[in-house]
Amino acid sequence: MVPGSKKRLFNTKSFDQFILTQFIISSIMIRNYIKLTWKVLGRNKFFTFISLFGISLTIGILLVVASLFDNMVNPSYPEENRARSLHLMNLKLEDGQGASWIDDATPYFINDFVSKLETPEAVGMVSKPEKHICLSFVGNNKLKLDLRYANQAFWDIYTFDFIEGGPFQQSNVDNRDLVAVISKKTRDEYFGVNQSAVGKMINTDYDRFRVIGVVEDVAKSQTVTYGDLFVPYTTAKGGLDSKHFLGEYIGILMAARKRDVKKMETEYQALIDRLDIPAPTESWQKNLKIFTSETLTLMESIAINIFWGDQKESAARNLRLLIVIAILLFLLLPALNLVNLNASRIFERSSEVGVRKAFGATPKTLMVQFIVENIILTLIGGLIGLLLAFCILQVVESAEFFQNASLGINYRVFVFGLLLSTFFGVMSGVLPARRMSKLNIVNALNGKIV
Amino acid sequence: MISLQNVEKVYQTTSIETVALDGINLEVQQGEFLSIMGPSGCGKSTLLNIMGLLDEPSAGDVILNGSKITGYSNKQLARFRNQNIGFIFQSYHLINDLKVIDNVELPLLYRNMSRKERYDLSVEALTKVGLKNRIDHFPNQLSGGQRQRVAIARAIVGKPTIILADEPTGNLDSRMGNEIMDILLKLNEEEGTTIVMVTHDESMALKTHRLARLFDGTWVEEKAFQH
Ligand SMILES: Nc1ncnc2c1ncn2[C@@H]1O[C@H](COP(=O)(O)OP(=O)(O)O)[C@@H](O)[C@H]1O
Ligand SMILES: [Mg+2]
Repeated sequence: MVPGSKKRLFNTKSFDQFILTQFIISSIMIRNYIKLTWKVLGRNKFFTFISLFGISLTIGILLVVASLFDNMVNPSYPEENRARSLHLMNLKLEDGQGASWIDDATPYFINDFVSKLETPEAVGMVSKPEKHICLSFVGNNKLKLDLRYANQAFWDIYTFDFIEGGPFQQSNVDNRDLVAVISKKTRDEYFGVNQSAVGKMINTDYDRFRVIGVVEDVAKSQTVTYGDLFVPYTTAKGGLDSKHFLGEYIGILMAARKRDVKKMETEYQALIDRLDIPAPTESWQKNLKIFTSETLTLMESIAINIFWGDQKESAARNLRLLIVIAILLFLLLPALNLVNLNASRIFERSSEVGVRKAFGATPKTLMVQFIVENIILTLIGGLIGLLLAFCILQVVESAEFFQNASLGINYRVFVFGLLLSTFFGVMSGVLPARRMSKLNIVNALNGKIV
Repeated sequence: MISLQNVEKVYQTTSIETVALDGINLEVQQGEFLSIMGPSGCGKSTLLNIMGLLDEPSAGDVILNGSKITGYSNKQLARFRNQNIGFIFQSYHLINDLKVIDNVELPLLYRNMSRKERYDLSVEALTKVGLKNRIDHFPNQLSGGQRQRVAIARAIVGKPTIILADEPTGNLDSRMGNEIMDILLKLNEEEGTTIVMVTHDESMALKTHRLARLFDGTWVEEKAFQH
């Protein structure tokens, strides 16, 4: 008996005793089920092999899909905080007569307004990707480097792994220091593979920067954090003194906790609503009347990445639909297939069912036996599927688009695989097992399964 | 011990109705060895299945060991069979991918019994049928007579009070058939197990206590033998 579980609801010894006996009986039963399963699976090796092959393949492929999906919804390095962050987008100015301008933000908008919000723990900004391609020469080789201007908070929000050195500090930003954090790839190309770079200078057609840190590469698919060269935004040549809203900087708000994201969004919208549109400094800014902006949660940004050009709400709706369809296709069809596979495996044994029932197996015992058998079979299949998925992912990882992405089987995918196998085990076992356990004994003995 | 009262069994198929048993009464005493004969299709198996609680009568009552079985749940029926009845079938019904010992211990799996207890009882039962040295064989490594002896071991391993045998020697030549018959007779004599056996072989029936003949679902003749 578990200590301390006494005198709760039923303060009687007999109740404890009852539970104890039940517990012992069921653990004996389960051991028997498992032993029996070993015997059964060892019996018809060919059929077991075919079943396992089907199950492993199914689960392996599902795990690959799950891993890709996991990589998408749980962006890994260095965007581990994405779930508690919002990306600003669609800053939009309208003249009320049909003309509108949409862009990202200016440092002025981020520093003077967004940074004043209370909920965010940090407000980062980084210039758009592929906006500043600078050139550099190594001997006669021309390097094209994607330069990203960032503020200091950018390094707080994203969990970059530094191979050497560190990020730039607020003082570097304030002093407009020409310092740079470079990617491993840039270091290898510019300074030589695995050469130390910190303290050395890197020449570009933009500026000459002193390297203060080297970070692990980021997959190109991660548009906010990908880059070859990160430098303080204060060293940028233009856009710094704009006193308007639209510019080239992606704003990132990070809340302390995930559950504050909603509050953060509300606070941001309230800010947008109360802001006055600044006085025009350029001709296109005349007559602007309306200012709106949106924020993107993790799911929303995935959604609009998939459904290009959609509004975020409809994109998110479509994404949910897509997920449901994918689940149907990727879960239901293999499940049906497995039901079929297991059904024929189980139906083969109708005479055995008859014998077992004749000698005292209850319908429930048989049912549990078949289900345990199925779960064990699918778990073994799941394990093989896991290995299979691992191998496939190794190959996928070497593909261009996922360069630098780490698609390994993490604990989430592992747990998913475990649940999946159990789900299949139960799903594909219950129906045939029910039918078998309800079979009339005489018919079962005679091999009639109708 | 076994009492059937006005047992009827009607099989209803889409167009035709087959009356397999038509008002059967039967009393089998404890320790008795009864044989049942009759032409093919006269209802012998149906009768035995109803006696063994494998099938339900369409009407009438089955009383076993003093308990009226009518209205038992599937679970109660299973438990009753497990404790009281051992079955022997014409085609053995061994599980081919299980070793002899695992086939024999099968009824004990549905009792709460330790592995060792199950093993010991199974070996004991196999010793009685003379197959102690075959425990690790698979059924398809045995002759027909040996298979039926394994089936007998399975039927007796749980020490049931009733054994129901449906043409146990039907698939065997006469030498093997006699071996099986000797085991059943010995079981009946030494352990006092009540046995009901369906057979086509008059010479087998003559060795039992009583012979009852069935024709078209009703009794037509009954003979008792003094040995
Ligand atoms: N499941 C069934 N459905 C329909 N008719 C059946 C079924 N089982 C047996 N019968 C019929 O009942 C009669 C008795 O069958 P059975 O008891 O097997 O005879 P026996 O064992 O004496 O050869 C036969 O006519 C047979 O066709
Ligand atoms: Mg028959």
